[in-house]
Amino acid sequence: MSTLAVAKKEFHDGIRSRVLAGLTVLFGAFMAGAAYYYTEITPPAGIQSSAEPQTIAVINSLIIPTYILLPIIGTILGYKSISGERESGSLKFLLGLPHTRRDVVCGKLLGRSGIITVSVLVGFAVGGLALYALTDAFQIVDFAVLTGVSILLGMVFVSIAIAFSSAVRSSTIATAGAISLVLVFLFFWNVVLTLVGYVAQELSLIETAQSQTPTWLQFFASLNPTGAYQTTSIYLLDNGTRSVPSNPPFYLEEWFGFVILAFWLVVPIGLAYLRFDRTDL
Amino acid sequence: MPAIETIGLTKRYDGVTAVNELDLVVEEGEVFGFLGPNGAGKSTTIDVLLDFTRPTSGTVTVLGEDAQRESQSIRRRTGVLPEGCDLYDRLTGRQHLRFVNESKDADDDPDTMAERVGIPEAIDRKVGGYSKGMKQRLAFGAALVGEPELLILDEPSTGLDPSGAHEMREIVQEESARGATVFFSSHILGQVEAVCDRVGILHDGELVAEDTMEGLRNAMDREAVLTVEVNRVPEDAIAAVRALPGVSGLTTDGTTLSAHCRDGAKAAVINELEAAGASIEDFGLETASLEELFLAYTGDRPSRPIDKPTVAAGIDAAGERTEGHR
Repeated sequence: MSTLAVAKKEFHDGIRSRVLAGLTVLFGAFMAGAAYYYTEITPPAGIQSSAEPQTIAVINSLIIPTYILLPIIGTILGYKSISGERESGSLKFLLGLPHTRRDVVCGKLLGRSGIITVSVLVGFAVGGLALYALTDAFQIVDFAVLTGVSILLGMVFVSIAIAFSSAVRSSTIATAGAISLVLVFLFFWNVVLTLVGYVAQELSLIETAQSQTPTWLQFFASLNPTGAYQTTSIYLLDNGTRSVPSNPPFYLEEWFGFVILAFWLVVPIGLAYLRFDRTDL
Repeated sequence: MPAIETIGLTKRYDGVTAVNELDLVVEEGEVFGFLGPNGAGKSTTIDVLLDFTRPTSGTVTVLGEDAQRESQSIRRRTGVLPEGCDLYDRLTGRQHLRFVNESKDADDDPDTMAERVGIPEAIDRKVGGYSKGMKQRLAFGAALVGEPELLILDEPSTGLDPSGAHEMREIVQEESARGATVFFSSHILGQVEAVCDRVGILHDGELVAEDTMEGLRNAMDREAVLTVEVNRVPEDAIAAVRALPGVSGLTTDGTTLSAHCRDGAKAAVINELEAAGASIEDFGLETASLEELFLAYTGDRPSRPIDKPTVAAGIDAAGERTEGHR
């Protein structure tokens, strides 16, 4: 009840943000642009063949603007959610009302997830209309599935950013932390993997001569939520046309991407809440 | 059952003691003024009452409930105006009041509330465009939602002009008449003088005085400020004067000493100074105003100048005596 009141307030407050409006417009433009690019300029292989894989190829192409922009929008929605209120003093107004700190954290997550849902729906509506206009083989169900997974991705980054925002006192540190993490996930994940691999080699955990990457390192690589998003999207949209390596361990199967997304959605914010609940405002 | 009770409340931050062994009782139905200079620990105390901050030691009960374990229930029954609090710039006044209604399971008409705190015409505007005073009025209105049993107001007149502060005091009186307990903090005595039944004066995290308004006024009548100018201030003189019975405070400003003392103690102060080896060059006497009493308790400002024409009857004899010593 209390959580819902906070969530509603968050939604009404955040949805009026001009920055959000700007980012949503940008997102819509990227979606339309991607749809145009992949249907008209350089259609990916398979787009000329039968109707079924064509849609999937095109829809898959929409993943690129999504997995770059949604982490950014999600982070911007979340990184000041609590530390900003702490700095301005409005957190004392909020907690002077009969809300617990859990109500505040959950309400923020819920309300801002609602906001990113709106943002994703707008972006996908624009992208969908463009696709519909440009190709004959627009598959509404596949498109809806991709929209759903994208909303989940957005929520994951909202959640991570709120975690930073509630765990640290300074909104500058929260911002720096949340943005660094997005940059790592988006652009520097391979650097991290190389480093981990190098350290593992130095510690003789991996044999240099080994031709295949050990499964634990593959697992570590799959922990990136943007990667998990791509894996799960392809998993849900694919109709068995791909070749999957036979008998991987369960944690390297594609459905496990959902577990990884759920982990990022719940665990960081859970830990941050425990810290936030104990500190002085 | 007291509305607020703290027993041995201590709060330390990184070795700095903000509140030290505070025992405070606010009775149900009274208007209690929580006074003290900035930094005295008023806000920290309020933060503990609302579980914004956890005490280092001590127990705190609000409305009969434990301030840590039953905080949500306490805040359901309490209206809170945090110090200089910011609101949500993108939401209108009406949206704020609706949110508070929803949070407290209340059903107060936002228009009536806005009318009451003097911002009826601004209620549908976004708070980002409000002046500081209007924000303060809205936050005050929000504290009144749901007819709370207890109002906790931290520096409620912040940002208000004199007439706004006056309206605020009127509402405090109305709320008190309705039966609410009001606990409000201020660093300005004048703000609480008119409305408070009782005041507590906090200084450096400790309660230095706690009395009814009437008691304070009586103390004021009995107290006077004796200002003495000496040629030099001997080392032991200050401690010796402070230790005199009937002397409640002493401030120094160069070679000017101001002693807050009862009628009977005036001569003793002068004797003590002379005994310590100072020669008296000039002195004056005036009865303390409530404001000075406050300052005497908190010792926050230098003494007032000696040349104020306020020499009272009864000191003349001593005056002549001093003349003789010159």
